Amino acid sequence: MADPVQAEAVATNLQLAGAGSFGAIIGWYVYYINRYRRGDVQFSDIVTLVGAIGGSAVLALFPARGDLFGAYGVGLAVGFFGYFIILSGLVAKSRKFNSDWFLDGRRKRLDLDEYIPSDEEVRAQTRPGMGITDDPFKPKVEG
Amino acid sequence: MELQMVGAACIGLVWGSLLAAVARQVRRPVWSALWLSLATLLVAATLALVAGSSWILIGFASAVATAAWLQAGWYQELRKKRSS
Repeated sequence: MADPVQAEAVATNLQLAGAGSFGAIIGWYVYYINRYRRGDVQFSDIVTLVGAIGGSAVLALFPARGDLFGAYGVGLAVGFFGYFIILSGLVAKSRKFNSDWFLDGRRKRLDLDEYIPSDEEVRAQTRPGMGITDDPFKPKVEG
Repeated sequence: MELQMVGAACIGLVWGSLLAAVARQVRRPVWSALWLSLATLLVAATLALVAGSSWILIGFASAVATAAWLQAGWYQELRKKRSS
């Protein structure tokens, strides 16, 4: 539970900005995690997300009824809805997608010179394994 | 309006939107989505009590109602496109 003395303390602008920014990052990731979640919806998904949004850990960091809690909440909404607004902007700008994609996932077919990389390909590009043989930074052994 | 009220309402808005998004992804029967919604509403009410702000619930209800209204409109438009 929040400490009322701490909750009533006046927060500085820097603290408010920090709490808001923290909330924005959490909000962005909450949307991201929900968007890329795999498998069937479970009640535990909601519990996990709700815990991240307004669980006891957040209330311990930002006491309820305090300005920091308010700034965190505003930041959370900015991050969460900011993701959706940017996604909507990208969809509106794209030639291959329109608003129907949000409803049933429809999109236009890829052009002949385009493809969507598999998960394995993306992982290999972004996180090379430890045992790679063509490491450009590895010193070459002569002879 | 004070910052903590706006913040609490924003948390409720995010929460309600998240519920609407998750409920839309439920592949099982409708009662499953209803059960999920009721359970989330209970958790939201508990947090509102702990945080001591009913603005969380106001934001939550607004987001769920807005999402339901928007989705109903979008599906109507989609149905029109399919039938034409």
